[in-house]
Amino acid sequence: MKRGNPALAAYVTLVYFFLLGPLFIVAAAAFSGSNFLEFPPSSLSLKWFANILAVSAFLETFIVSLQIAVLGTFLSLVIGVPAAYALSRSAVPGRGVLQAIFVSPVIVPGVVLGFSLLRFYNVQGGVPVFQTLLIGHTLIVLPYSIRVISSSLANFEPAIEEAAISLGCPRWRTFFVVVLPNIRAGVMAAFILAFITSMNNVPVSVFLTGPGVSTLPIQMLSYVENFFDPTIASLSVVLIATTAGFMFLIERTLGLSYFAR
Amino acid sequence: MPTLELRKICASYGDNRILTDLDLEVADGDFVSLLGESGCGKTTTLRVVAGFLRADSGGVLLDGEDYTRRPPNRRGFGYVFQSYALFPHLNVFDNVAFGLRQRKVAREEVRRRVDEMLEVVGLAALRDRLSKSLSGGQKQRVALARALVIKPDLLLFDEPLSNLDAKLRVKMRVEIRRLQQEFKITTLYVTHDQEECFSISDKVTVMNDGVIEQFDRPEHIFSQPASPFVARFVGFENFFQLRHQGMSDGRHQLVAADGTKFEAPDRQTIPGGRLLGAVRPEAIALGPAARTGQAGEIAGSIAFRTYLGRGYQYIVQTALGDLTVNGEDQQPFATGDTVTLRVPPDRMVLLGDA
Ligand SMILES: Nc1ncnc2c1ncn2[C@@H]1O[C@H](COP(=O)(O)OP(=O)(O)OP(=O)(O)O)[C@@H](O)[C@H]1O
Ligand SMILES: [Mg+2]
Repeated sequence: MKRGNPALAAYVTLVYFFLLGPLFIVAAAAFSGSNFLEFPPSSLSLKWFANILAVSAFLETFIVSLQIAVLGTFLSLVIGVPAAYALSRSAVPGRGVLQAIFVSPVIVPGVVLGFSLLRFYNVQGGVPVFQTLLIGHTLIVLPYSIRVISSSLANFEPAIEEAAISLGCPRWRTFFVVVLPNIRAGVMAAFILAFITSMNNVPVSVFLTGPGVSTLPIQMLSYVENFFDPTIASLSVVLIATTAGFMFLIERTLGLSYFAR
Repeated sequence: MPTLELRKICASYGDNRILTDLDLEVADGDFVSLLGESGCGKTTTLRVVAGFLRADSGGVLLDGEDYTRRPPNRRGFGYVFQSYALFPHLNVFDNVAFGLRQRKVAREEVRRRVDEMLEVVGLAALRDRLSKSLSGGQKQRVALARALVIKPDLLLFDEPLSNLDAKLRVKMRVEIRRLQQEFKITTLYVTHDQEECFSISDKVTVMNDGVIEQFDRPEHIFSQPASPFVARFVGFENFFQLRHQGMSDGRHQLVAADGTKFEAPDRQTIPGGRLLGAVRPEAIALGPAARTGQAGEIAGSIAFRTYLGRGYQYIVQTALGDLTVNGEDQQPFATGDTVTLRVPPDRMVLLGDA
C-alpha cells in the first residue's frame, strides 16, 4: 500500500475486524478440545470435525440441501432466462408491472412466503415436503436469476441479433446460437448467486421442512438448540473452506473478472 | 440483379408516425443513398426494407415480388450496421461463415468462399482473431464481408462509417463502392454525411421528416435542389423572396421586395406560388462599395467575419437581410466596411416556397 491516510487505514482495519473477527472466533472454537464453545480454546483437538460425520442428520440434510439448491437454481434459470429475455427485448405493455412481480419474492418477507407455501401447497394441496421445498427455493432464487441475466442482456446489443436474422437465422434459433453464448457469464454468475442463496436459506425452509426431510441450515439450527458443543463451529469451518475452494477453482478456471464483466 | 421498390410506405413506432407515404425505387445494381438529418426516418426506412419493422401500410417489392410480409431471415438481404454488430463470441472466419452455415452450405464450400471473401476485403491474415480484438476499420470490413459472402439480393447500410476517423472513412467508402460495383449489388445506403453520400451514390434521396424531398443524381441535387429544405441541406445559405417580371436577354427577370433586381438562367422553370431565389455563400462576389446599377447588386456592410482556413466567411448586413458570403484570403474586409455584393445570374437557383 502507498503512503495512505491514517484515518482511512484505521477505518478499513475496523471494518475488517467486524467482518472477519466473528469468523476468526468461530474458526478457533472449531478446533477446541472442550465440550462447549469457548474462545480462546483451552485445548486443541479435531474431534468435533469427526463428530460432524457421527451425526448422520448432517450428511442427510446436506444432500437434501444440495438437491434442492441444484434443482431450484436450474428451474429458476429455465424460467428466468426466457423471462429476462422477453422483458429486455420486447416493448410489452405493463413491463414495469411484470418486472415488479418477478422481483416480488425479494420484497415479501421469507417468513410470509414460507408460511403461504406451506399452507397452500403442503397442507391444502397435499404436495409432498420435498417438492414444496423445491417450489419455495425456486421462487426465492428466481429474482436473483432474472436480475443478473437482465443486466447481462442489457449489455448485449440487439443489433447483433438482427445481424444474425438478416443472415438467415430464424429468431428462435438466434436466441440459442447468438444470445446464449454471449450471456454465458451472466448465466454462470446467476447460477452461483442463486445456488448460494438457496443453500443458506432459513426463513422459507423453516416452514417447509417436515418429518424426515430437512435442509442443512435448518438441521444446524435445531442442533444448536439442543447441543452446546463446537460441532457447529467445525461444520461452519468446513462450509467456509468448501466455498472458498469453490471460488478459488472458478477464479483459476474462468477468472473472477469473468463475472464482473 | 433485382430492383427494390417501396410503395406508399407508412410506418410508426407506437402512435408516433415516422414515415408517410414513402415511395422509392432502387434500380437494378444501383447505389442509392438516403440522406437526411438525424431523426428524419432513415434507419426506420431501412428497417422496413429489412423486415425488422412491419409497415402500417404500403408495400416492399423486390423485382415485383411482394416482400412486405416476408420474415427478415427469409429475405436474403445483407445488412451492415453502424455498430458493426459482429458476433463477439466468434472469430473473424466464423463471423463471415455464419450466413453460409445458416444456408447449410457444404463445409468445404464455406471454407472456400469465406477465405475468398476475406482475401477480397484484405482480412486473410486476421482469419482466426476474435472479433472483439479488432480495430474499428477491421470490424467494418468483417461486417462487410459477412454481408457480401451470402451474395445478397440487396445490400443495406446504416451509417457504416460514422464510427471511424475521417481518413479511414474516405478509404472505406471507396472500398465499399468498389465492392458494390464488383459484385453489382443493388444497394441502399443511409448516411447523414453529404460528402460521403455524393461521392459514392448513383442516386441520392434527400429525406425530411419522413418524406422524400428529392430523388436525383448527386450532381443535380447539388446544383439544382428542388426545395428550400434540400437547398439548405446542400449548402445554399442565402434566400431571397422574389417576384417574376418576365424574360429579357434570355434570362428571367426578378425583383426583390426592396426593388433589388436579379436575373436567373432561363433553363430553370418558374415554380408556381411564391418564389424563392437561393445562392451559395461562395457564389456571391464581394467587392468594395461601388454601384454600377446592374442586376444582382446588393449594398451592405460587414457585420461579422470568421476565418475558414481557406479564405474568410462574412456575415453581411443588407436591405435583404443578413447574407453569408465567402471571400478570398487577400485583402480581407474588416467589420464595419461597406461593400457591394454581386450575385451572378447563373448562380441563382429558383425554388417554389411552399
Ligand atoms: N425503437 C423506437 N421506438 C420509438 N421511437 C423510435 C424508435 N426508433 C426510432 N424512433 C424515432 O423515430 C424517428 C426516426 O428515427 P430513425 O432512427 O429512423 O432516424 P434516423 O434518420 O436514422 O436518424 P439518425 O441519423 O440519428 O440515425 C426519431 O424521431 C426517433 O426518435
Ligand atoms: Mg439512424
